Amino acid sequence: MLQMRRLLLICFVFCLFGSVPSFAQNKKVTLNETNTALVKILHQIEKQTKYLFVYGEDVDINQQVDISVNNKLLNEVLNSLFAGKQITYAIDQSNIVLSYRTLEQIKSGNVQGVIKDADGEPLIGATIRIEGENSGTVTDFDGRFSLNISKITSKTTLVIDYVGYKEQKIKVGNQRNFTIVMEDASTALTEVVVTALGIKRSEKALSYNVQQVKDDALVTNKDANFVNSLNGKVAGVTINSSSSGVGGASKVVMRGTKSIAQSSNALYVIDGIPMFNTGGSGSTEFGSAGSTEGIADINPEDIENISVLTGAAAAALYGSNASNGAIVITTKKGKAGKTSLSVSSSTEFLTALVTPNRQNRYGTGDLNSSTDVLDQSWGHKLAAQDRMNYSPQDDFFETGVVNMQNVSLSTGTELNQTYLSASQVASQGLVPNNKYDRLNFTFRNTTSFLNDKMKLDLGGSYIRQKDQNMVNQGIYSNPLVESYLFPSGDDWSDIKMYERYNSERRISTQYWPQGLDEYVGQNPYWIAYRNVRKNNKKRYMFNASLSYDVLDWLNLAGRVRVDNSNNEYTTKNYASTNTTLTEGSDNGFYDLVNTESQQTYADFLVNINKRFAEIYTLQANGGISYSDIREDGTEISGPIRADGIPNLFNVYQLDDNKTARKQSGWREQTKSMFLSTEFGYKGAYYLTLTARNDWPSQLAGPNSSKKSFFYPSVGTSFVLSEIFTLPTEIEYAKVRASYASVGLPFPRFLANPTYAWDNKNKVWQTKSNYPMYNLKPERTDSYEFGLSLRFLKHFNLDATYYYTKTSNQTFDPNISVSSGYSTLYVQTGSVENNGFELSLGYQNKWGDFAWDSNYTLSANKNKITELVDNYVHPETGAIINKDRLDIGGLSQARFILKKGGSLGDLYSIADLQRDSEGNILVNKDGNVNALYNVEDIKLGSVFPKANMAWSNNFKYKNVNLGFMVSARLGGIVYSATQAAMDRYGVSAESADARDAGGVIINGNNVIGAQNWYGTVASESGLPQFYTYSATNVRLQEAHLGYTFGKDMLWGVGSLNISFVAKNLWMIYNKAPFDPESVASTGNYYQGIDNFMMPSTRSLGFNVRMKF
Amino acid sequence: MKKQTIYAAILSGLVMTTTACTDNYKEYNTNPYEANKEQMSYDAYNIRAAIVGMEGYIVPVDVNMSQFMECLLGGSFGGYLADSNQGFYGKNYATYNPQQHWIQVAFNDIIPNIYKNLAQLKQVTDDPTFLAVGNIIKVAAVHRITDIYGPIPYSKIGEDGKLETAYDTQEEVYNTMFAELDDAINVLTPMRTSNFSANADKIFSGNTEKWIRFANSLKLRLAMRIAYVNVDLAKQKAEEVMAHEIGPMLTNDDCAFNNVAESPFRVVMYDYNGGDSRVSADITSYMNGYNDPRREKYFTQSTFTEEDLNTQENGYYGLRSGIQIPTSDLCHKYANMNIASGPNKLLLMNAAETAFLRAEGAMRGWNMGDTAENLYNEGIRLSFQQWGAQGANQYLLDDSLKPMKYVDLANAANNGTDVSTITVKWDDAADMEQKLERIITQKWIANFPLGIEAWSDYRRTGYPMLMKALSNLSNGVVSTERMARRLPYPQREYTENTVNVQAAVSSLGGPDNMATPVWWDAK
Repeated sequence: MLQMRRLLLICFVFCLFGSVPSFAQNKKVTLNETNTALVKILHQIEKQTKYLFVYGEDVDINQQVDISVNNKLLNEVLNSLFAGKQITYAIDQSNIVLSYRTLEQIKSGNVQGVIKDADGEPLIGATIRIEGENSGTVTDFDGRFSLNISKITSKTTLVIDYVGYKEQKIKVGNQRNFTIVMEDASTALTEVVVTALGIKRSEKALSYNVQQVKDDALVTNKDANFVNSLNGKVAGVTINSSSSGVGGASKVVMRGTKSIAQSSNALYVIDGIPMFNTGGSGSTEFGSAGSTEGIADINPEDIENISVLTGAAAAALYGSNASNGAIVITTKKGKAGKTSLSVSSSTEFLTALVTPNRQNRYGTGDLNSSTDVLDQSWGHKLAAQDRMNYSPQDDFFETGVVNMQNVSLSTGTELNQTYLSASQVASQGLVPNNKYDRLNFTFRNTTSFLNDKMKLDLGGSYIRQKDQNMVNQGIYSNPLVESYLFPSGDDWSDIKMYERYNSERRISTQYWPQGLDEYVGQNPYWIAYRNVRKNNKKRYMFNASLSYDVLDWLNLAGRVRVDNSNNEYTTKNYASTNTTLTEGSDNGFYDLVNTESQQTYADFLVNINKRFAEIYTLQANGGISYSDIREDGTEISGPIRADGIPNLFNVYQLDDNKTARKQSGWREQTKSMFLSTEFGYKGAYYLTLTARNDWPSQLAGPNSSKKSFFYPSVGTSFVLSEIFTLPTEIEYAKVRASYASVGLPFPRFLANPTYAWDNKNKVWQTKSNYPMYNLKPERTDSYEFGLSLRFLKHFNLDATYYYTKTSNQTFDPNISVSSGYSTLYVQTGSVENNGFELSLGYQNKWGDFAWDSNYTLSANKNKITELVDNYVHPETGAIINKDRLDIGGLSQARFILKKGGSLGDLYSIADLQRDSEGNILVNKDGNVNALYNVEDIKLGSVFPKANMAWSNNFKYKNVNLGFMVSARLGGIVYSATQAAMDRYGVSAESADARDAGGVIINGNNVIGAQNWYGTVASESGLPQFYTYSATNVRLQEAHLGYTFGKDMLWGVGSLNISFVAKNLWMIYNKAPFDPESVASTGNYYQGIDNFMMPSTRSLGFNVRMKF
Repeated sequence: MKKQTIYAAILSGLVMTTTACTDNYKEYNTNPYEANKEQMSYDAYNIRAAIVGMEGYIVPVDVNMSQFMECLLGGSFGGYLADSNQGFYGKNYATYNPQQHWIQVAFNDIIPNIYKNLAQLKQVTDDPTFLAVGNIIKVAAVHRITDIYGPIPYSKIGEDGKLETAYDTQEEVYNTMFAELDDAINVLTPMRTSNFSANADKIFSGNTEKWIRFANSLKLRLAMRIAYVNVDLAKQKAEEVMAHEIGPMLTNDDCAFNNVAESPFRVVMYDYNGGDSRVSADITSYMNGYNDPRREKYFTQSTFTEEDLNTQENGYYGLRSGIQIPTSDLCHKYANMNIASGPNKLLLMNAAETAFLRAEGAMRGWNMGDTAENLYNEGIRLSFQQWGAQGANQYLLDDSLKPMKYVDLANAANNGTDVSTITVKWDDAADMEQKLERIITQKWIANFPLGIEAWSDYRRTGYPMLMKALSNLSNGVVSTERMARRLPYPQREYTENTVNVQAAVSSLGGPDNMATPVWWDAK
């Protein structure tokens, strides 16, 4: 019944506003001011009309003026206001552009010139006419024009039009030769922002934080996964690049981790349509397979700009997943009237940024052992001439190379525009035989029909992506383990020849004398070349949208997007691979996984944009959407049969008994209705209301109590600079506030449990979770308050405070086996995040020199306010309380959730045995003991307290220099790698301790180095001894470029050459690895280093040509 | 108003299309590659699944669980296997310093897997046969857990939907298990000839009589376990078994094996790094000393090079447990378990054990239907027969061969001292302790590779005599002489079932560590 009432309400809102007749576009103004600063009069006009003034710095807005008009048409008012002043105006949609003009008057003459775009490209076919007259001309193939004017007055104005660009009006004055640079319509003014569903809205009206990133920020310092390029450029977003290397999946979290069990990662939206980000989160603990992700497939060159909506309010219209924030990508379209071809090529070289320190003075072996030890370095001290001086950086890692090429063509007429691009990424990583390659082909065509009333936009892309041996961290088939732990007394060159020909078998088999069984040891080169993991993806995306302007204030639009991909993943472990990894076969192991994923999205929108009684505006967007996501996969894996042929990898070869066949698949469909309405009053007061109802398939099933859920948002914004008279130093001021409540379905299948296959017992197994009923969706409530300022002409400031609360979460707390079950789902738990985002920009120009600087700061506090408090189990009525939830981690380092703590709190569950005063107990053997059943010892949170970045761009004539310094403050990380290296005696620390005669504890007890590390570094280390501050400061990006203009290149085209660098300099870091690197995009593996691939420093150059 | 009508119509249309089409949602929200509740009921699959599922947790079929329980724990403490992964040194059972996540496996993984299946079984059937079989499996699996830890949650699990239930003392667990076995035997006995579906049973293919024999044999095993703590009850229960019309396992046809696609022992001892375990020097030294014909069935020979061997030849040389583990290359030269890849039979309990249990009972003066000597000899014969080994009669008459002193061909530091002088031939004149050692020693050889059972016998009787750990890293907790007596409770119990685990610990009579004996460990 409630649902029905909501629908009626929505209908009512539609009907109400549908009934109001349309108004004339002529606005009237009343002003009565004497000796008033022009700027104040402009503000008054802005208040009385919907228009916003835009002006350059050469327009004197502080001059005193007199004006007295009563209910006069805007045009007339402006004409009289600027009469005799060195100001001219032009009205463009919602803006009035003021420009400087001279007052000199000349009688007649010929004017000529050239029209170019911002890149210095000539515009062919641009029209030039005299304002108020019909006469005019068009530019030729070189963008040149010539026009005879019979009478030139102070008012004579050239009007230059070109589709896709802002119309320009230029006073002729006494100038006869013009070089006119046209501004791209889409980026000309930052007043308009792309928001939800691709709807453009006035920045003034937004009640939430939206930050824009332009394409040049993505392509100047290109990354194979463009997401990494956003790092530091947007406040409130924490981007941790993946340890999987080039093309690896990135963890993007906005405004803090929200969910105990579900993903907290941001949503990606392409041209207004949400994209389900396929791809794995990356292996943890044992596995070492890195992974890429769907969004990494996007060619950064195809991106026009990106809006980042950090809050849930911003994204209430995208549906549930947007409660984590959204990255909204607008892709490029063809431009009318001109053809341009751009070619770019970049090459980067990668080296490891932070690697642990090794020792080279103590040799292989174990002086305490009665048996031979070949994999440890607790041997004798080596004389200088006997040292092998092996280092993983120099001897094992290779220099990575990333090559990216792109060609894009844009062409079109006024009615039909086309954009085509092709790009290639070819790269190799630090680890031998690691590759990431990608080919992208993109096509887009935009056509206008019916007098521009109907627009058809068609686009498609085809992507081939391949990667090989992506390693993120872990034990199995991770060559870092062996290369980091390689015994110091041994000769690396001996194992470089990783296979030896076996004449009996007629195959080459692995050579690895070191053992290292604990870590399933293998020759690292063998892992790289003979434990080959390949991924081969073919993906195509197609989108179409049709929009029709029924009336000048009413538009209907329908869109559809299809995104399908096929992925083939293979693992080939060659004969003589460690049999743990071949399931015992001496002939090899083969794994074949085929995955097909299909995403279909469609929506239908009704868009209303109206103005009433001159001072009220209404923008409403309502509609329905359909989203369907499916994934289907089959896997066959197994050892090659004993009577088979070694190293022949196909399914016929697999062992009959041990072959595992897996099939997995799921489908999620959501149907939604939504409505967003924005009311404006006098261009100064705005109120936005949104409403959405989702019918997600995840709710279907006998255990669910709901079929759909509703979520609203409300937001307001006040343009203070329109309402009050502010000091002239403040050009623009806006405050905003919003509230949104977003529902999120619980995970699929929970409502409708089935029985899974148990391959060990060959049986469909009984459920081991406690029965569950009456499931309800999760909810995130968020509030935000913000301030936008533009002041002192060159500064702009955006500040936001937010608070979110995510409650009714579905998760399985650990339970005692005494319940008879191994898992139990509860629906409770509440997580709060609050914090602020701040960005401060400065832009100025001194002649040929320009400086552009931006600082971002964000801080977030995460708090668990409820775990399981007096939760009444719906089935049994049992009251459940949990104040502690161990949710994962590595070995003794656990993420333990506690009420009052945060989702990032890392604890140690082990400690050294201590006396009553807390001193470490030394036993009679002079050793220390580890205890593994101690009370939780909090190590800290892996979340940063704050992130900041400061970017600068300098331009002098054709030279361009930029850099960005970024810093993360607070938080901790833990390194199991360091523990393992200590325990194996290969770390620099272990050698120092030996040199010092042991490790001093309690101020005076000396413990032998090997005893000490044998205890504190075993079982991945007692975490409290391997925890480091995660605070770090780095020079994250730098570039230096030079542009050769067209004039310097015989008019053929322009050329830009840049030197670029990423992670150039780690200025401050106390951890033995890069604390910003993460192995998994999941919620609970951040801050853990378990032989994680180091992040990379990259240096390279970029060449861009435009014709 | 015309316009509004049109808009309203369009909108209502949209609403209809949106809301009406959620009919297929339940299908979308169903895992397409799993079985649903209805399908599970076809051909009584849910009954079969519950029973077969439970059977896989008596001696775990899952390789990881098997490695933790049968190899690392049972193998080391039972004298059957030795760890051969150098990386395990210092954090293994053999050095009395096991990793945290190792000690929880038996408790956290076995119990819920048994109970969830039993709960499903009770839900989908009231057929007394299935419920009786389910209870036998429960006892077969869970008695091993109480033997490892002492008090465990048992009778109150699942009571009133509670998430935290109290532990039973080990005595209570034993009493309940006896009652459950008795009940199952009583239910099944009248139906001894009516078999059930072979698809529901990977152990006896639905043979009801064999389940009765298994239940009786388990009862006998449990009775003997409490011989030092409640001899009257032990005698009563043991004699009940023999008085029963069907009785315990008598022939090798009665043995309980789980049919598996691949033995987990094969995976652990061959596949993992080329073998994470090897055969222990304890059992090879005994069997070498007795020149035991079963060796070639149990073991492969060592593969030392001539260099390693000096003048000796390769043979059944096991690796000593509780030492600083050598490199894998060296470890892998020691004798391994002789076990083929592919479908195999995983031993749960054999007829030989029953014979030895009866022999011990007879020796204690209980009515076991025969003399201790005959039953002892029968145990040996049954074991030889089970393994297809020849020469049992000759073997059991030998009164001179004694266990060998262990010589480690690769490292003299690991050489053993004399551990036992017990011979094979029954000696009725020997004192009770000697008889007991003789019975347990032969039972131990016959029970290979049931490590947890061997460890229980070791704790109960002190036999077989095993070599002591050379590396005791327990920091004085575990006595090298007495060896480990139990495992501590998993950490999760302390965090999720705090009150009850603390009560259980207080009933232990000692700290929750590896040195405190369990209830029946009272000799």
